[in-house]
Amino acid sequence: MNQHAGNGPHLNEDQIEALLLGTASSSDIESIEGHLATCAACRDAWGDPLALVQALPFAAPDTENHYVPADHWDAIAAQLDAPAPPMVAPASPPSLVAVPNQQPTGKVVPLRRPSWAILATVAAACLVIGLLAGMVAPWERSNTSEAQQFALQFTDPQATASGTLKYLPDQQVFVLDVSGLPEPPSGYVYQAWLINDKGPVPSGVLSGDGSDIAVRGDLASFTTFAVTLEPGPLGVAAPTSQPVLVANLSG
Amino acid sequence: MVTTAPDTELLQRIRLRDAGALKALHERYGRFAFAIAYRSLGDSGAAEEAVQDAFLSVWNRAETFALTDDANVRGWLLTIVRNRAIDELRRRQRRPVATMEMEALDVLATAPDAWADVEANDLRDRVQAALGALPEAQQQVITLAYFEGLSQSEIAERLDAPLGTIKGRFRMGFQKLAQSLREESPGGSPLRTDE
Repeated sequence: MNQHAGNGPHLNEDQIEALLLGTASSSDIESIEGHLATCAACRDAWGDPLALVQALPFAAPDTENHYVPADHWDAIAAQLDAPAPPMVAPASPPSLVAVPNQQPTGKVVPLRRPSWAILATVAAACLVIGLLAGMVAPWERSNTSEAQQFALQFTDPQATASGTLKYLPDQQVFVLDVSGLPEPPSGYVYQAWLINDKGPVPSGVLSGDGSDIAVRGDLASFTTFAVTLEPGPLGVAAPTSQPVLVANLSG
Repeated sequence: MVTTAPDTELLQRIRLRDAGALKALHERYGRFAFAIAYRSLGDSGAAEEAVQDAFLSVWNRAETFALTDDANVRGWLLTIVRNRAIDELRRRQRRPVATMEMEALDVLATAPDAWADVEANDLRDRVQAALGALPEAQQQVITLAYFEGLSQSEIAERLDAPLGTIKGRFRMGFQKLAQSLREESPGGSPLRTDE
């Protein structure tokens, strides 16, 4: 095997083969990269093997008569453990939260702690009351094929917004359709949460016009749906502000 | 609505358990993923399963992906698809499964994407043209290695050719392909020359 003074022996077919076959270890790949960075002879000989390996998937011809079936996504969606692996709310809720429904001033001001625990407690109480009143249990409801609708409560008494939250049991999807929410301040988005006794689970951000979202989740696993105003464009892992709307999923 | 969000943003949303973001990634690359799996497996049902597994892998492993601004999400996803398909092919042929370790996949994904500015459809056209321009024997060695996961020794056995001949075809084919793609790239070379 040829060697040179710079960075070990020159690359050979076996190393390139391992890269191509996908059997190279992470240290093999790092070693190949490291060698190429300092060896003009190997770059001349092999070009950039990583770039070539990145391109090779596209050598697969289009499959003409064998396109991805229309329901392929549904098969994947049905297996998602959505909306969450356990993403437990912070043991100590954040003590600094952004002011919702106000133009951000660039500073973060202390407010009262988010009332997620209270929401969960209220939702649990509603569940008990609902069951005592002979209502259908959530795990039974989730087997029905008819969409269920939940009332939205807007926490700002001045709010002129309105909307609906529906749950589609067959798809295990919540669909929020709301209008009249204030335009999110620049850099902020409305983010949806599903809440259970472990805390709020991030469930996506509302679409660009802030009006709707579909969230996968099993109704039987959650007690509350909420929307907060959060830093965009992606939202956050745990809520930093009070909810702007809440729906009790238990009653 | 078709999202125009960058792949990295979709992956960030997947980390936040946004199934819609995974769906957007599926809409964007599902067809390419299926083509890769089908090229390896030659069977629609098995290809669908391999692609399904790969997307579930993205969903379950998004948290571990080193998400940088120029992370190669597309390459990561398609490499997972290809590896799933090869694993299945090896199982069928009762060959040992030699899956790339996930850490190696992550290293590949964090390597600069030489093709980041090239649309997937354009890249497919270029790669297929470059591959098609190779002599058939060299083409065969490259595609048997990449799409069927055959080592050079296994290719030699299958083609009943001396190992040295296969190694020569492999080297020549690989080098010509790299050269051809370099010439095809907009700036003359998408390949790194950092020294």
